[in-house]
Amino acid sequence: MISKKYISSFILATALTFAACERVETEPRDWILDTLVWDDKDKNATVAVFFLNNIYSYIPDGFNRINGLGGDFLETGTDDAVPSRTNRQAEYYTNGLISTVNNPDPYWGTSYAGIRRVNIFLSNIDKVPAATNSIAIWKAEARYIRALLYFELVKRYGGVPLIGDRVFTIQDDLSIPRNTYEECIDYIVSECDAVKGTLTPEPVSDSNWGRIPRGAAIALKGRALLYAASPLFNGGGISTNANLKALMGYPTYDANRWQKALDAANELIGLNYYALQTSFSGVFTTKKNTEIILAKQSGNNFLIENYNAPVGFGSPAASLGLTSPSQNLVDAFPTITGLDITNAQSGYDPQNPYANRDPRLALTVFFNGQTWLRRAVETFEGGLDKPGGIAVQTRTGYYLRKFMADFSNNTTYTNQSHNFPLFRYSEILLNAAEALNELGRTTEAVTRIIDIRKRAGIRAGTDNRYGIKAGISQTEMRALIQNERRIELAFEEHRFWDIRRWKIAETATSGSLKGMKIVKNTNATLTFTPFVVSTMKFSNKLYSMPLPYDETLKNNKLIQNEGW
Amino acid sequence: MTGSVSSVSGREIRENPSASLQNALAGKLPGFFSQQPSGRPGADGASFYIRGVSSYNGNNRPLIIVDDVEYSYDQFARIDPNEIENLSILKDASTTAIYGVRGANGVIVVSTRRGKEGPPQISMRAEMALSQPTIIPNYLDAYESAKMYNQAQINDNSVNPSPSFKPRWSDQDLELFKNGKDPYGHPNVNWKDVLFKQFAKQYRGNLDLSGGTQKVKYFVSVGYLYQDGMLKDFGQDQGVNSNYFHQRYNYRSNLDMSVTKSLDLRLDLYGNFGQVNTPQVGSPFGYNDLFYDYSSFLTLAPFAYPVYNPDGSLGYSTWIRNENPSYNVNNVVGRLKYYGYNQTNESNINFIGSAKQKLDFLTKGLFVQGRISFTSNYGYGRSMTRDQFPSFIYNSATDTYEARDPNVYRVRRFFLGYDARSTSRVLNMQLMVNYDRTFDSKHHVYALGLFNRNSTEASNSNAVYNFIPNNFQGYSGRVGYDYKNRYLVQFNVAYNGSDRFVRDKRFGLLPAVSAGWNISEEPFYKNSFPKFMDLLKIRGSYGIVGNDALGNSFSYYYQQNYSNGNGVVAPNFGYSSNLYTGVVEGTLANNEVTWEKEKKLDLAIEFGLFNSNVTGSFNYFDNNRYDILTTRGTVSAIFGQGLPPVNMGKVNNRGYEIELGYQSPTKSGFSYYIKGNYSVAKNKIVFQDEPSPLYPYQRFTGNSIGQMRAYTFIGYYKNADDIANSPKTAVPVQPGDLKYADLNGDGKIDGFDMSVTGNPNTPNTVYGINLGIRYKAISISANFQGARNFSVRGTAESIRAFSSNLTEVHKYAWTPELGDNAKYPRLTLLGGISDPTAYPSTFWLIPGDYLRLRNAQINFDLPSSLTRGLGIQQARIYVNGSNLLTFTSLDKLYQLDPEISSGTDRVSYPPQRLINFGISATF
Repeated sequence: MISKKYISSFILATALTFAACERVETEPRDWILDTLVWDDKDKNATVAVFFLNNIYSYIPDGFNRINGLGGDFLETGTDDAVPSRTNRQAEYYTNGLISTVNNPDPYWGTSYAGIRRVNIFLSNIDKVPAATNSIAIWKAEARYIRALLYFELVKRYGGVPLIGDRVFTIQDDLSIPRNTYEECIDYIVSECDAVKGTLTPEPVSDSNWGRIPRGAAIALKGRALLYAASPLFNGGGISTNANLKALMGYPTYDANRWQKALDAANELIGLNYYALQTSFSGVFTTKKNTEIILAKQSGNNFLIENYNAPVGFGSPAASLGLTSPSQNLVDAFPTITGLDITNAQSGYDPQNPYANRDPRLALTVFFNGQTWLRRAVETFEGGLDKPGGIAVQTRTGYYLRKFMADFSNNTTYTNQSHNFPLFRYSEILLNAAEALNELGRTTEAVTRIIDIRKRAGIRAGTDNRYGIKAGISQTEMRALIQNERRIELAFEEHRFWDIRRWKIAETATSGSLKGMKIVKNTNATLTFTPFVVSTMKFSNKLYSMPLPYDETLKNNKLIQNEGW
Repeated sequence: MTGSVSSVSGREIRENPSASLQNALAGKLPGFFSQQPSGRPGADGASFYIRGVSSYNGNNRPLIIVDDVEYSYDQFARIDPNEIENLSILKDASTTAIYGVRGANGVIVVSTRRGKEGPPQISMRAEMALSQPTIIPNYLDAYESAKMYNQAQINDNSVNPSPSFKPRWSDQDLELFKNGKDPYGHPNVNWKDVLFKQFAKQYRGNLDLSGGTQKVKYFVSVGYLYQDGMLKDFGQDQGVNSNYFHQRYNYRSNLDMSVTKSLDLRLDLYGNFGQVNTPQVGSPFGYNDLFYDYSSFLTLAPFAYPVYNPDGSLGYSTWIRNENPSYNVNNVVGRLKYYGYNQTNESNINFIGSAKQKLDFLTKGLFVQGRISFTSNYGYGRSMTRDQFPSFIYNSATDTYEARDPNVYRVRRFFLGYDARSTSRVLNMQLMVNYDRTFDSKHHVYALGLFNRNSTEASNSNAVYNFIPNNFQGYSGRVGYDYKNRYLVQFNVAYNGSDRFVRDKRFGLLPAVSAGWNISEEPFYKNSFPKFMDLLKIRGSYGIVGNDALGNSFSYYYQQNYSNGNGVVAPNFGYSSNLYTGVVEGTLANNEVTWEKEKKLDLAIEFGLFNSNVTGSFNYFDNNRYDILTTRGTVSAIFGQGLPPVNMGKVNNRGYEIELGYQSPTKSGFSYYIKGNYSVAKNKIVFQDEPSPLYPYQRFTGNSIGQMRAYTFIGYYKNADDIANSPKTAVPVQPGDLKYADLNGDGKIDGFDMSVTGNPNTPNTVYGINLGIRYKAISISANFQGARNFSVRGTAESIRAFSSNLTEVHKYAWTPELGDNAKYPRLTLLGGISDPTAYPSTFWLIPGDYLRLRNAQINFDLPSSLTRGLGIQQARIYVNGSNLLTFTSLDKLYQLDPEISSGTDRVSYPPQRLINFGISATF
């Protein structure tokens, strides 16, 4: 029958076609799978090192950071500065708009993402047959970064969940309660102590510059212990709830914590490697120097100048003037004598306010008359750098100058080393001074401050005390150290946390944030009148950051900080 | 029939001249939801859904089956309506079940025309259409715009008055804008007139040949479509066509052959090739969209610059170059003239071969069928562009010219570009066994077994998925029985899978059952029901179908990978600061991932009255989608890594469709019909792993897919006292700003005061009314279509004053005098609480409900006495149109088409109103 022939040929043809569909490559074959990253044959650990490189990118930055690249300095949320642009989130810290959903700097998800990556690295790197010595250093670096990220969390929130070396899987229960403040500090300190012997000892070679050196571990430990000894955390917490108090700080005061902070500072000083540079200005633009202990590495650029220099400079040296330092900060700088400007002997002239000041002032802010790109900065009303109208411009009469290279004789910007200093030797000296003073060793504290003032270019004075009065009391010295820390470490992300840990934020960031109104008279003379830029508000809950709203919904074991 | 199916004939589709097939379907099919956001030639196809949307994973597209072969969305839009015999949508579980894991979104089934036995018949059709936008914003003139700009500056300055403040435009400037005495220094350009044609044209032609013998039947068709753009032809003297246009050639050859008495072969060859052209525009911020320029105040204010200078050179102004440098793109007419075009060329070639062997010698009514189809699409882009030409700023006071860019005095040469575009090839094989027999003319038994294998390889912009085969394989079966067409029952089952999932999660069993009772066939019916009710039927179905199209960003979720690509920040090390490579762990894998499923319930009643002159039906459905891939929202960030989606989401989608129609009997050549349909599909998110928010009004769960959180607008701030007595806001407010409700009552307006509100952008109710009258040779038909319960929000260049050019509504911006009668917040050049992007609120999110005359036709059949002499059997002339009239509630704020996507940040190429003249003849 003819149809049978057709049927059989049809069936055969179909069968052949279907059989021919042997499938290969049903999924992407070019993916980087974990077997490639943790290659158990690669003695060079090529891709595993890439993984560590990525962990390095979690080291925090500090330049124009709030709200992303081109944003604001954290200091614009303190009494040191305001953002030049209005309605910026950084200013929420001083105008009372911070809420659990509106906190521009939570650092929560980022920190835990970094911590997870460290833990993945630690649990996998042993599969890779690299040299034992290298692996040990890598692990130490990863652990250090983890400790650093925890410290970022702790300084914001107090105690946070410590997850150890765990790498979570989807099945894990993530309702993890917060560890106490004490546990967190102990963890950070013990991690620093554990890795400091393995990290690269100084001097770090040129090609390895930027890798974590031994000193960084000691510096982190020192800062953690200094914070822990400070009034807010050392028994002075604002919470009345016993549980919460233990999460947000030590429940009771212990003077010995200052000793620990001092010991850590001395440990670093005792390395006899780190030192103050002769010039304050060069510290920030010289990529490798013995004052920088750890800095966030970045490619050479002129973003700092671009974002923050006075707005009157146009293309090719376009400057956006995003940061407006306050009169409050400017007033904190002493005169060249080291004496406070309120001191009658200081030589301060309110109608010539920038003459004979601490040389650091001119390296920290731009004020009217300073030279930049071959012209004088004009922040008087209607001047090139304060033209008025709705364009973004300084709100205070000042622009940020710190971290910039000296372009006063150039016509345009060139690429510069702009690594954000995370730890530098001055801070260690200030830490030591603070701890010494709190331990009652005020005289020793004075010598530490003198070191800093001497380098800054303050005149020694006839008594060779650099403006520090003889027989200074502990309380007076405390204020002096706090002020010295404010001006020496301005815009290095210290002020924001310092005023909190000292518990002075309620006075420092309430009341008027001032600027300087400069009017150019018809006879070309200038009249200086301080004016109020904004009125800052502070409430006690701002001593700690609010845990992110989403997180408290997702993890019901998280106890929210006091007041939020 | 026990399932829910709606159909429309090819003839009805052809009454709508729209270039994209789906645009002709709105309002004609109950349960068909569509939205056409753009009218750009070659990209004007509406997005469409069957019975609304049921999944929030991003893919609610129905499966499209043309002649038993799967089509892509784009292919579907390009089908020549002339080739269509019939189009149906399958809506319930029983009809979609054989499509298994691909049927959950509903199925569109198209059958094409095939030859019939008879002498060869040639038909031709020629059409020419005029098209113009349904709506395009009319902007205010230079004088009014400048005045309002001044006002905005005055408003902004009043907050913190500057002693040296002067508004941008002096009284003299305003006067010159008004009297037009200085057309170069103070131009007043109506950009709409400068840029756009009054009407664009569209041409369409078809020629087909059909006929056949007992052995061979054929239908051969060729078609041509040319859709011109609304832009004036600026590029012509540069020897290029830089207008928008779409050109398409369709061809189809459907052959049916009876090889033996029991073996039939079918060979179809069809496809199209097309060109879609867009101008290279060079808009600010890299948009490359002329409508961005048109809507942007800072790019094309009416006083932006004179188009030409007195010496004939292209004009420009310091207003943009110096005052708004980020918008400093060259003269728009020059750009359209010199910048050239970008073009996509696609060719689509498809083949279906099918053999059907009757096996009556085994048992009567049995046959097997095998089918192979090969569909391919190949696309490449071609561009001819340049980026430089001179324009000059004319100073009327000194009669001098200054180059806009002192480095450009020449027109640069064109540069040719070429790149690969979407390419795909799909191989589909089907083998089916069919059985269909009626015993004793009572028992109708039928069964179908189908084996289906589909393999797709396609280009993808994400290299990871580029040309990775995507395979689908399935077995489906159907068994049905009916007794005297009175009791009907059908079982369907599909067992199929897709290699998008891990091996043991690939296959799944998806069953469906349906039944019907044709009451009017019962013996007792005639006695118990009134005589005029001649049809009454109830039916229902229930089953499970799936959806394996898991959103646009499908990935191999079961496989975790590490990436060194985008987003991995690598550190700098070393004194010379070298950038080092980084590698980072990717999103976690979930090897449990599988497709979504939907339980579909469908109940219907159908009736006919007066010899079925009146027909109607009521259909109720309740669909429960589950296992929707969901990124878990309740996992703490302590986890430290992106989470893979998990099959856990649930959405309920239910609604109904009502259809009513009346067809009059023909009396002395006169007849008419009226048909209406009304479809509702309301969805509700049942579960999406959302953390329970502090305030219940912030929950998305329980609301519809696509609803957004927004502030509730409760009026304008009246004065300083009002501001002082109102909840505190994050940004300073001024009288005339939008005031929002403090929903949580904490005295602050912040993120907690946003509630899930408004409607989603997809309407949950659509309806259509179809009317027709015929008297002898003349027939008139009209199709009204409407949509309800959806919201539209515009932002930035689409509405915000001074981002957008100014429209009538901005004239009613808040002033103390207007007070609550204002239609727009106070004018400002700054952001602030009234900004539609930063502060989405119910002020901006408004209902877009509309009713349109979707299409209408007047047709005149030429008397055969006239045509026969020309050898023409039949000829007709007709005029039809689409989108002829629109009534919408959107126009209280926006001058936008109501079908625009919500959140739009600028005017889009507007959907077009077409008036089409055609003749058709059959030889």
